[in-house]
Amino acid sequence: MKFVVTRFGYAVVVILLASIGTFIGLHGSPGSVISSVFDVATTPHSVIVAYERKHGLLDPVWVQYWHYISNIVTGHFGTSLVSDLPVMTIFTTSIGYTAQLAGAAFLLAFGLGIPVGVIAAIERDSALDRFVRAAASVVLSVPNFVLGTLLVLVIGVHLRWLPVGGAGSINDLILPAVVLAAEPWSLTVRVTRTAFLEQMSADFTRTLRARGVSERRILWRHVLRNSLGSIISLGTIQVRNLLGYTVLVEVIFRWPGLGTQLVNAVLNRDYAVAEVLSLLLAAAVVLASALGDVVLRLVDPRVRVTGEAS
Amino acid sequence: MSLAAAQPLPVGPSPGRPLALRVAARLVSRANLFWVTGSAILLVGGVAGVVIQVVPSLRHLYLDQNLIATFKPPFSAGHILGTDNLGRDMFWQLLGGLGISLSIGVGVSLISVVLGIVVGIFGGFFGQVADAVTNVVVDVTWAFPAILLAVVFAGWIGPSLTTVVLALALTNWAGFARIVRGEVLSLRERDFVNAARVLGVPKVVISARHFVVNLLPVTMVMIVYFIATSIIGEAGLSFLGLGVQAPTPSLGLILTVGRDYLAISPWMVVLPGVLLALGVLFLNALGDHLRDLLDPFGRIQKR
Amino acid sequence: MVIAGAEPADSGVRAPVPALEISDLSISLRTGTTDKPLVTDVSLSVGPGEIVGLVGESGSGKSLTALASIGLLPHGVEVRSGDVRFAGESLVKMDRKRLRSLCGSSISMIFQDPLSSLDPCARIGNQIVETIRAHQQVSVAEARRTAVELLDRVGIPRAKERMRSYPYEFSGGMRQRVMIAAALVLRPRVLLADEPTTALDVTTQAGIMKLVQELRSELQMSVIWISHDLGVVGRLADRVAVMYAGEMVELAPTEELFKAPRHPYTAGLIRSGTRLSYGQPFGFVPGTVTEPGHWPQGCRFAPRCDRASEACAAHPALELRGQSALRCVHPLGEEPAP
Repeated sequence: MKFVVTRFGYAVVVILLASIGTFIGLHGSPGSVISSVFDVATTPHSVIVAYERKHGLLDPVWVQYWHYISNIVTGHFGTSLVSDLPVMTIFTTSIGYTAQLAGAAFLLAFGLGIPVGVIAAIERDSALDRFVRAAASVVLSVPNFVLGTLLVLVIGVHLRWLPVGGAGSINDLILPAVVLAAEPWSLTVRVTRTAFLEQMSADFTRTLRARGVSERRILWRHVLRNSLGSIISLGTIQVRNLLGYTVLVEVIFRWPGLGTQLVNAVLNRDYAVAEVLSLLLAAAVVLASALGDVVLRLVDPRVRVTGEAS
Repeated sequence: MSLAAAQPLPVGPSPGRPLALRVAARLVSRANLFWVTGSAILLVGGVAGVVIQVVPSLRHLYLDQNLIATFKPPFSAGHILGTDNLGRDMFWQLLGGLGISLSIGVGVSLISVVLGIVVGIFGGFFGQVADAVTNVVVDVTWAFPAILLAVVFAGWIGPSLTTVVLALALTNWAGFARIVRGEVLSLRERDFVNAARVLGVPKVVISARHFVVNLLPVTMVMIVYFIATSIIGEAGLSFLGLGVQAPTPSLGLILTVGRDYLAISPWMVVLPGVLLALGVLFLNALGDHLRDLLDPFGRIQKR
Repeated sequence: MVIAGAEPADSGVRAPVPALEISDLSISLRTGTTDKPLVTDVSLSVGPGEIVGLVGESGSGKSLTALASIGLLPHGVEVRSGDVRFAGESLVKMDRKRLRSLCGSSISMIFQDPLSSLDPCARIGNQIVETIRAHQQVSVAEARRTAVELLDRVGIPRAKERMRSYPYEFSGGMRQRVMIAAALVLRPRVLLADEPTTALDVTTQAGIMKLVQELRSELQMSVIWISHDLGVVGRLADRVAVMYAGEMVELAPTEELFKAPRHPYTAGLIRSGTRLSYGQPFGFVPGTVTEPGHWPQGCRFAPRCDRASEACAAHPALELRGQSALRCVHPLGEEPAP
């Protein structure tokens, strides 16, 4: 479909522009890198120069950018300035963990959020509905790192029910995934509920009833499908948020994913790693957004006309 | 016709009392007493927090270390909320942190809002090319979730308060610009705009006079939400070590330091955590309340 | 009070049993503890194959009357008294399950705005198939075949391909045809049409009207056609009922109503819709309808009527005269009391 091509083409343009951003931001002045890798006072000048030459730090800026972008595209991610490990290795070892965590959180948030939202809409204004809405509000207000740290305190330290560090077994995934999923879950519940309520009172439900279609079918076949548009739009935004918050949650729970690597790289002034990882993260966000738009178009015919879900 | 499809209420040069006065009057009414008092308390706390950092003679309140009185729990002698890992008084640390949070929050919100309005109007009203350019800029910014942006800035200029402000401001503005653009798109078709253009009024003037005024309700609500998200953002970034650095107090910093000492004392984690959660809860509710007052037709989406 | 059913205009067979019988129907809105009447004592009988036009301004209660008949009153609005009978059964007192089995198969309704009234996410073929399979045990393939035939019959070109189309891909007139197809696929005895052509342009309107007329003959179906447009109703209906402020004020065979309207409101409506020849003053009915809840005790039209007198302070009753009915103490054609 033409739309898919143009949309992803645009995504690529955006990623390229973003790469300029990551480059400018993270390429940094060689001075700071040098001082974090070497003890300048005691290291011979020749060693420093050799190091600079090896990492291409003496070339003009645009040459360096070109190297940066062409290398990434061809898969040559360079070497860490600090640990001398290939960045590609760092990437491949950590991406799996991040994907696991983000994926689990996404599933939790939507898998639990949509049904809860639907039920809240169907049982509108009942005690259940009000409880759900209040819970969503509260969960939404507690920042996830606060929630995470408090849970580490209560469940990890005091109750010792679940582990709070490392990524050995599936148990290690539970707490971080729950913490990461909390905010998206509340938003999903809210959005689903609102969308469902809106569609439940739409004109077409009246027509369907006039044709004798059962309430159950109207709800699950027609109303749900019409609500999907809003939910998918939300999903796209949530992927972006998830990828961002993963960084935080990984640090709290010492989960060895992309996030921890990135933060450490920045704090250690390891630009080689930071540039690549941050661009990859940004690219993931952009691609997810493009994918979301494509899915939205597939699901909701109205989008093809107006360009937005109702 | 559903309420969501309703036209924005035209404000424009209006007869009677100016909008600001009317809003203020409604806000101070009996029903809103709780919100107004709560916001006042928050404001006073924040200002106090800033004052103790700015006035040199008061700095000792949160800076004084007492290494023989570390990790005291709340209600200890002389320290109503206890002390931290260096013996500093928790109450003043928290207050200082609150001051930082609020000042960053307000600063970031204002920057985001101004940027958002300018760019949003530019894209929505000044032609196709302008629109295309703004869309691309917004989308590129959109590619960087807050934390990623902070990471990039931290890498560039090093972790600091400035990093936090820049990162958060640039995160929020894009979303707001989109909202503004949407509003402008519908506003520009209104008759009073066409009338003004026919009369030769320059676009900039129309934007300032009519669009901005109509956007005020949305803006005010978004400012409150942005303050809430900025507070979380600053705390989160400081938590990661990418934001405010010691000795500047920050709720996120206290939290992250406290993590390492969980086995010894939970208070360094619990106190800032609860304060953060309560503050954000209040601000979110305030934002909802304001939205109900100013935007009953639900044109504003929270995120 | 029940008005005797009319004989179908083009049939010599006497049909004593009305297809749909509305008797003394009253509907009100329940808000908290108060009850606001919206429709009072409406009675109307529709014979088999007859088209009855139901006209009135917005707020006259015409749509509500139809919605009550098919059990689709909105939340909070309820039938307070009276009945609607179909084939001897009371639709108002019927249990929901039985009512649902009648909706779409024996009684159908079509609505004003086909864009918002059709599920935008459902292909039009499926919408018809769904209606069929909600009432009959047929295979999907069989139902699809029927749907295609019907789409063809209502005038959708390339029906078989268009089965997979979505509502937004059609024009307003086509969408309305789809609505009609879905409503009539099971050959109902009664069709309630709530302003089906109001949102369409004149040419399209004519097409839909023609379609309904044809289908009425083919299916021997009764139709209540609701409209605020007297012109449309005049061309289509066998009899016309005029509603004002929640009650029926006049009922008469179409030609009679137009040639010699008896209620002042009817006359005003006709005047305001008539094509004018040069030099004639615009006719219109001055004033606006009073809101439900603020109806006067006496004749509800009196405040706008230039024939009103003290006699109008008492609420006029609905009088029968053959196939017609009238609710007025100073009808046109008779001199007003001094």
